[in-house]
Amino acid sequence: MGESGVTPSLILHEALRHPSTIGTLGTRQWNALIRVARAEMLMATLGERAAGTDVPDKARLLLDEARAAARRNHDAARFEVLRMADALRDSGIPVVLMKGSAYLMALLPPLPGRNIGDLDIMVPRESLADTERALKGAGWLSVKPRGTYDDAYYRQWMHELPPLAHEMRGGVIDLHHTILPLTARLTPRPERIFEHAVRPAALAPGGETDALPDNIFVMSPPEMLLHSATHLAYDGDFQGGARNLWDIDRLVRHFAKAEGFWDELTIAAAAHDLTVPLARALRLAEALYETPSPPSVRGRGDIVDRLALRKLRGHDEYGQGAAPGAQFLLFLRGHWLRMPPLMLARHLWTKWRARRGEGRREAPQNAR
Amino acid sequence: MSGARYIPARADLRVEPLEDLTLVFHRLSGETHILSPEMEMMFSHLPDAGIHPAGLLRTLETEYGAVEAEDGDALAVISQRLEELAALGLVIRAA
Amino acid sequence: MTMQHMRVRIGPATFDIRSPFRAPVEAARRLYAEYPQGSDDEIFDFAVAAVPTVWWRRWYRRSMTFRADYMMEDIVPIEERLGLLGFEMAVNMQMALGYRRDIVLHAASAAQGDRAIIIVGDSGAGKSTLSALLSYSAGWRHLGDELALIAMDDPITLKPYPRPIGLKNQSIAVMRERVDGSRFGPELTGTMKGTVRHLLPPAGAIANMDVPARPALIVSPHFAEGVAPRTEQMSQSEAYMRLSVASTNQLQLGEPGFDTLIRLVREVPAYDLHYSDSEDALKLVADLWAKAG
Repeated sequence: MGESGVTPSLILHEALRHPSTIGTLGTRQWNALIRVARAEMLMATLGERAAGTDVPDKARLLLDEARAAARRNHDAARFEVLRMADALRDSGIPVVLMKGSAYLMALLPPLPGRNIGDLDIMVPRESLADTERALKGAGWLSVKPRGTYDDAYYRQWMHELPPLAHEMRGGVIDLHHTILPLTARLTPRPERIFEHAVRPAALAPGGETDALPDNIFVMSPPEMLLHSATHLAYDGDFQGGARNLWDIDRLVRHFAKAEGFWDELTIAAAAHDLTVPLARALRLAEALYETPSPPSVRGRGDIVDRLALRKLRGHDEYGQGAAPGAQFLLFLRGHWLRMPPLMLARHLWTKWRARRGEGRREAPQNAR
Repeated sequence: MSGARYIPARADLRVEPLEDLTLVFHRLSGETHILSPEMEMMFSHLPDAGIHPAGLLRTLETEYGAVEAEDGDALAVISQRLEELAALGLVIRAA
Repeated sequence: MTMQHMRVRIGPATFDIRSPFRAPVEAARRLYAEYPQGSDDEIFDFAVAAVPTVWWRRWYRRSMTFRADYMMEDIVPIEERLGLLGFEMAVNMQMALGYRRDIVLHAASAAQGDRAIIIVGDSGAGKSTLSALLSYSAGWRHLGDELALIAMDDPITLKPYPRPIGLKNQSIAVMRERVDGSRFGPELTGTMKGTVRHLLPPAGAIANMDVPARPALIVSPHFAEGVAPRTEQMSQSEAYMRLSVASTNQLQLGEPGFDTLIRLVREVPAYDLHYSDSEDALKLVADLWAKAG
């Protein structure tokens, strides 16, 4: 890899953008591509993109395995959405599906091959208690018992409640009331998201989706994109950034076909105080995937862009991140963005204390 | 409590009786469930069109004579078991 | 930095093993010398790398941790001298977490002719020792001591995955009495599981790693001091649950995985084995094998 300056990450980004180019890859490049695609959780997405391309048999086998796993993951995720919708059907509470589950139920372009983790949903803040009660009644229990440090931390500072896991199935719901932690310096307006929310079928190509109760929504296109963009900028270390930016690329190319989209997006970004993170996400998406956007919305690059790109492009042949310096700086930056300074000190200290405790427990084992 | 009607989700399921217990594979979630003999008996008596808990109790009484529950009344137990099956996706609760 | 690396194929899976530390890669090369070595010109299944825990640990108080395609978080760092063990653990983890072409069972297996026994049980129940005894003292073909690969075909077949057998503590002496020292890897003391030493399967098992066998008997060994030898047949649902729990990937395989395990427990009898002595264990297996005919 070193000889040409083409890192495995760049092979992955190029393969996603122009899948026909992977027909020309050599064996060594394939091995590197598979490592980085697995590390970035993009193996099944790559498989879907490369479905019509001629690739070596072994590569086809590994890509198809990943695609099959993603399809099963989608089935299971769909089941969890339907169970959740059933539990909240009679509550009258508007429920907005977020991220993967929204792409799934509205059949949006980031979906093929995308792994969907816990079910993220958002309800109005004043309905949190009722929502939690209705979910508990249907078997979802908090994984952080009330009164613990973690529980208090979530409730006081986070944009979500502690995860709720179903007692019989183990499926996990993350219940949100806004799209950023309350400690973040930017303050988006969740009520605007509910005002503009649409039914999944309204976005789905052909309007065909699973039947969902009337109170289940997804975000409007501009806000769905904004949410994905804030996620990228506020995850701190840009971990999983290649996938997040792929979501953004697919959403932009799809939504921008509608007339007036960029204007609506600009207005929504200003209303949520998210113009800056949106601009950064669009710049990074352009750098990785040539995602088209108007220069006026995208803005100008800065030092954080350069650090982020070093990390996003820095995977070696083993899928491992390089550039440790860049990583540490980005980690700190993410925490600064989310927390007021006093909170930051307390949060880092607690984490550090917890780690040291573990280290002590393990010490006798290592010493033997 | 007995207002809801329960429809077996047979198209989503693969039911495989072994010598002693019955296993059910639920295609959507990918989970395998083990039905005890009582659960299996209830499940196999659900008509495709669905039934209320009270109706299911009557069916079972017609077939097996008296139906008794160890802890409380049989109708409540049947309703609760049907809710558990619904949570797992093996039956669908219709309004 | 200069990387040492090697490629090896074990049954249906190929691995790339790599590290800036020379010693563990050389130890792996020696251990796997009889196995098919992959070439640089093929796409392999999994990559496993041993890397310094912190960059300077490559030179001073050397310790390493492992990176791979599929990895549990928080692997405890290990000293350089135990690197071979780390590679073995990481290689197993790739199969357990990332291999999808067959059902992966946490089980040992062995064959006579084209028919196979599957040995399931928790770590420490005696799987490795029993499978080593079967292959070195009772003439069975070793298929694997840790992971069994069940192909989702009709009829069901077992694919060999004849990794070196990981013997622990007293089992090392038990097998050392029966097998020439040249088949053993280095003695690794002070590991989390005590002393570990790898035993290469008989050469024939490695040479025939592409020859599958059909499952004919399932046993679950229970070694305990002072118990009288006896066997107990499992019900089909009991056998299903034991196999399902022993499987690392069945849930990810969907309906074909379910279908295969159901057919397996319907077609193949399963028994618990209780014994306190390896000769008794071999005799119990021989009796059941004769009965499974």
